[in-house]
Amino acid sequence: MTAVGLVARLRTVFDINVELATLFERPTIAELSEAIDMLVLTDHRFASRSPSGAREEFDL
Amino acid sequence: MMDAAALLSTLRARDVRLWIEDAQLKCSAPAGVLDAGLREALASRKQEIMDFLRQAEALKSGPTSIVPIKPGGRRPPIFAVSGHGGDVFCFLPLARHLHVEQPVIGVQPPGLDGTEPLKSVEALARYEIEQIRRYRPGGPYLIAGHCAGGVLAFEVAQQLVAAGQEVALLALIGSPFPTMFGRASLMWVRLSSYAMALTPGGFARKLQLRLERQRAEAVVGPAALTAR
Repeated sequence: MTAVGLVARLRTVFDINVELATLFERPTIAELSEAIDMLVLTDHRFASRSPSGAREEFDL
Repeated sequence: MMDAAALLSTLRARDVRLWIEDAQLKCSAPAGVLDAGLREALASRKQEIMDFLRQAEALKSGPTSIVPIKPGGRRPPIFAVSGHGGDVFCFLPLARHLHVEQPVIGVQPPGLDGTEPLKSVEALARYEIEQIRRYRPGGPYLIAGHCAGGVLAFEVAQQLVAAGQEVALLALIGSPFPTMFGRASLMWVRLSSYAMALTPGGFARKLQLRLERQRAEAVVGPAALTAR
């Protein structure tokens, strides 16, 4: 599989955009999966499933 | 013991959102979702979570055309411009064989991530020079291109020279040349490919090319591929 193909597959499967440069900076599967985690877990495009429900917001 | 990723995954499943604002970790959760255990996990892993969010932001810093194929080394870097596939990964084996102090930096065209691609060699060269000069503002510049990338490398070098920059190396690897599409040259290519097709490896190669072509047609449609 080519790198461009891998990026396209990652987009299809995880719905994330991994930069080609990231593949070089993270050449092992462990490092890449860490990047996938980061992109997936911080993706808030599909925000609240209960938009009307009450929310609490605070600093930590 | 949960790590930051596992904790964030748990929180995400419960629609808890975390973000950094003014160097402060903020949290927004549906009322009643955060129990004492989760609150404690959040508080004790605050630094880890912030590191995680910052690294994630860095990954999303937008499309970058500079691909650090082999970023280390004290020599002036070789800039590898994109070839016919649009990506620069074909330079990886070469980069690994070069001197340990010789960096190799790939330059990618726009369009691979679904953005609008550039359609002329001149425009591509202008774009890639912009990226190259942002990475390394002054020459001497070392430029390499593989296959169709050789044409782009040549144009990049021409534009750099026209702008008064020094091009210390222009390496064209297996690139098309002006007389390549002449009658004699094409005849030679055709005859040698016939000869190749008679060998067992040639037959396998032919099958592989046919498969690749079918796959390409499935993606872009037959009209986009000119018949040979």
